[in-house]
Amino acid sequence: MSVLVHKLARDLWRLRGQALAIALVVASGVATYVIAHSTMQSLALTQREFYRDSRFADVFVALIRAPREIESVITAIDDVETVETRARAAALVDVPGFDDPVSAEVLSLPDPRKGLNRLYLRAGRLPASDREIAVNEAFAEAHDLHPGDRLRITLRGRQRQVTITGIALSAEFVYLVRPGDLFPDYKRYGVFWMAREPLDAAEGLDGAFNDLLLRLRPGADPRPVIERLDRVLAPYGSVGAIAREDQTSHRYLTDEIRQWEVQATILPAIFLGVAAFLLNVVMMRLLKQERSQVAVLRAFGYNRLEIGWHYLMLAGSIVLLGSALGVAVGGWLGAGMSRVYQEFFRYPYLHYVLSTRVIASGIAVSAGAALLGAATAVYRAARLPPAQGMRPEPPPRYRITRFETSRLRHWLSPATRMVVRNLMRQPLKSGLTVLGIAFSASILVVGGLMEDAIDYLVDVQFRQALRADLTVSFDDVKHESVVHELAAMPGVHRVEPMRAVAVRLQAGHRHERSAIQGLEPDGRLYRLLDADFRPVAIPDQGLMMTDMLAAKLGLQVGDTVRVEVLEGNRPTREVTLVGITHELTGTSAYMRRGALNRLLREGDVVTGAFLGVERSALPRLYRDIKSTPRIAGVMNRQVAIDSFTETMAGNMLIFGAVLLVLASTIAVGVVYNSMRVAFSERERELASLRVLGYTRFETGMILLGEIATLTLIALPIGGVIGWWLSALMVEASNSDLYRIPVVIEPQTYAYAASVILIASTLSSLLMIRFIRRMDLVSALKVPQ
Amino acid sequence: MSGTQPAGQPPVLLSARGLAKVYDGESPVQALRGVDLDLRAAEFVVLLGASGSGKSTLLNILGGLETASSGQVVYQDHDLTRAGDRALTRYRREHVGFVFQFYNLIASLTARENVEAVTEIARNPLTPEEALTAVGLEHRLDHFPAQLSGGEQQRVAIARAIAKQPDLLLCDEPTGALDSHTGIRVLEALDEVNRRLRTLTVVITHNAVIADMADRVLRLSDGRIVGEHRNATRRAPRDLQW
Ligand SMILES: Nc1ncnc2c1ncn2[C@@H]1O[C@H](COP(=O)(O)OP(=O)(O)OP(=O)(O)O)[C@@H](O)[C@H]1O
Ligand SMILES: [Mg+2]
Repeated sequence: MSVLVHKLARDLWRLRGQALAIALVVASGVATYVIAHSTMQSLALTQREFYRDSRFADVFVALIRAPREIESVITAIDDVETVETRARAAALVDVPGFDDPVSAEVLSLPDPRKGLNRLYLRAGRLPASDREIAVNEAFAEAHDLHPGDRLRITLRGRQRQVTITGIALSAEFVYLVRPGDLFPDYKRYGVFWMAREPLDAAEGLDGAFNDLLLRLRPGADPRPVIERLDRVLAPYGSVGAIAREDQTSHRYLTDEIRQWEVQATILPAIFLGVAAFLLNVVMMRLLKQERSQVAVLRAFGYNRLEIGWHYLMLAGSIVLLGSALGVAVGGWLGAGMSRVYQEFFRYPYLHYVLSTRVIASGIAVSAGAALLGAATAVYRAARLPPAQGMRPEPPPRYRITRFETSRLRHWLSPATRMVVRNLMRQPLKSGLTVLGIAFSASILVVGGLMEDAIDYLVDVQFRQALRADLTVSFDDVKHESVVHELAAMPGVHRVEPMRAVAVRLQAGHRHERSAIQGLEPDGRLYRLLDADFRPVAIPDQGLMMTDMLAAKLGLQVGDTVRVEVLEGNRPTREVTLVGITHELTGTSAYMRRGALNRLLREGDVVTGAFLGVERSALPRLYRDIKSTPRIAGVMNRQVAIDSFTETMAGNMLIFGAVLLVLASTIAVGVVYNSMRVAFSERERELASLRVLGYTRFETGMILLGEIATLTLIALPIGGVIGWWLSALMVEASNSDLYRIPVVIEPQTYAYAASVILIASTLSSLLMIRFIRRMDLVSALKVPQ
Repeated sequence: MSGTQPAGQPPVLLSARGLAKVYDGESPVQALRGVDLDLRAAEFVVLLGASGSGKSTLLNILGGLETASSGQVVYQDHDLTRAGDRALTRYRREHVGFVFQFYNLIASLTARENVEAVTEIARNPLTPEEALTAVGLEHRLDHFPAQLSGGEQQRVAIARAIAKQPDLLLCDEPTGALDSHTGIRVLEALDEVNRRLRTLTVVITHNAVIADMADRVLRLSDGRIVGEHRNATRRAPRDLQW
């Protein structure tokens, strides 16, 4: 056996270039697997722990005002374990040295003994007096605030100076986004906590509450509880209780974890699939060259198992090296990703777990994939009867193709003709090489998908749909005449009012919470888009909704929808679905504002407006809006885009960049290997040509011409496969929060192509070196 | 060079003086130890010698596949000893035809195309059809090597080697892999080419019988030429027996 060990060591050394390239490919596959799995597990584990530690609520209700006595009624509902009433208020905030309007949600502190959604104090202490608050960590970091710093806040029109006593985190706001906003904006939106009594006093809630948290018995179904709760709380202005699964932060978090689950399944599958394919091709060709040696070993009396084992060890060593490298790199990058997530999701701690299970399964999956790739080759080699193996292999059957009889051939140089012939007469081999290169190009395309998709999403959402520079929302329903006030503000050149109302839409047994936005008929600042993202008009009557919402409700144009209004005296109406709009995020419904006003049987009222503002006037306008108490929120489009690309997109872009690096590694590995294999297969032939008097250049051209042709054929195929894989990934990862479009920019294809071309060029240079060094005599000495 | 030229003798085409070859490595091997040799146009020379005696090494150096460690090889008035790869490639391309024991045909090309691989780059070639006819394969033009017998493949290799109308044809055990009947057909092809095209032909063989068809027989041993004799008459290949 020790002879075989020597042979193994020598073979590995002889094949070191190729072995290293394959190991890198395997490493990249394993690394994607490890990153995705460890990130997913880390997020999920931390989520579970944080929820448990902070006693995260199961059901959430916002209402206008309910007496505390009702608490006992709620406690009596089946499956309710703990009830926690809260005070909730909206505040405008004045941060010293920061001019933009800032708003905050102020919540009362949870009960110190058995309260829900308990805070995790990062610094300082909990607030006690009416002049003290705790602020959420992201906000504190965004403004560099520390315990002891002061802010000015306006509650119910009354300004007060408060001191920050603590920096806190809450399971309720792991992902924090202002209601109605798409993306986090930590600078302009915060969550503050105050002691219960002073907040009750400020909001006029003595003996009452306007927010409720419930914890249910483990395993209880929240739906019946919510039904009871809604009936009990309807008179108190509840807009409907929501279960944890609909809670914003939880939904984003869960969605993100699910995204990683998809990444963890599909990407490694693609990457490892390519690695396995590659290994198969290389092993196949390697063993073909080893054919007579295998036969001789068999003739000496080595059995199939020993020989099979020997070659599997060869593949196994390469895979093991790659896996080890992949785990190391993946663990390192995964830990890095987790730190990035720590910025995005506000966990008090993020346990980066690189479990042995992930490591073991990563290695097992890659080893399995790779060995599967090698196994067929090894099996074929070991199975061969020795006598047959020592005879030269029956040569592949070649056919004379149309090319030979066509006139075209006379136009081509001898070397070119040779290239064309070789390619056409070995379609299978050429095909495999093309496929290998195409796959590596396709991974590069998938790697670029993230960035392109995000660019596109921003473009559709912020340049096609929302075109308002500022979007303001009022603290209450206003008469349409406020438009004139807004229009009179400096720099405002266009105002389009809107009426938004929270609703529950019902179709058959399906229902969804949503909001209907009443828009102006000839609106230009907020446009509805069709399937090709071109603006569409809103019909006079009836409801439009995004395709995602329509799909969830199982609705088609012409169907009737029940609209349960979650405001005021909560009327229920029926409307007809008259059109479908297409957006990449959210599940909104739309009507003409007039039609919505009529539906709600209200006057000409609005709840917000879209503003077109001259760029130069924006800073000034901000200040003015800040001092307008009736404006509860302002969204600045540019700021939203920026914060989106910084936070949410930031994560995806970082992962995208990592993917791109890994994909590039694979691409280079595949290309190098294809060339190396092509060279060793053709070595004898090339040597023959040299003996016949072909120059190194001509010989090189024959080999490289072949490879160049295959590469050029592979590129468009790779583009198509890449698009297809991207679509597959997108399909699997779309959620109802947002939809990643399958958009791939020409630059991405160009990048993919150039990586492949550069890899081919570098490999070609290496091949030229091989040709220069080729030993003509020894290449021809052995039988074919 | 042999200064004086006997009357009626063709000119010396290739001459070697003090040719030595050492293969470097962990244990250097001296493959040739001072070979002096003149080869004349149209000669048919057979090179005999034990295995490892340096026959292939000598042939490869003469054909410009390898360079000598010391000594000199001159082809007409070109010194091959100090020629670089470019010059050697040109030398092979324009003047030399090779035939090896293992035919070294290009598997993906038909017989005709294998020959074309040479005629396409040669200056004054036969047509592939002519070359293949010369070796008796005019009816196998469009067959791939895999569809030909060993002897036929070797004859394609000869056709490929002679198609450029080389000045010298170097054959390293051309019949080594063939049975006697097939071997004779191959030798007939070589003999025919030598007579008709007046190509200097050097054939390495382990088969002493083949020596009878040569003008001159050289015997190599341990890197030196240890014997030389001329046949008064060349026997036709078909009269050989082994
Ligand atoms: N590339 C090489 N490296 C090292 N030694 C070599 C090399 N090629 C040949 N030799 C050695 O040079 C010597 C002469 O080899 P050569 O191939 O010329 O012998 P030969 O007469 O053709 O033998 P055979 O009849 O077996 O083909 C041998 O001892 C051989 O081991
Ligand atoms: Mg030899």
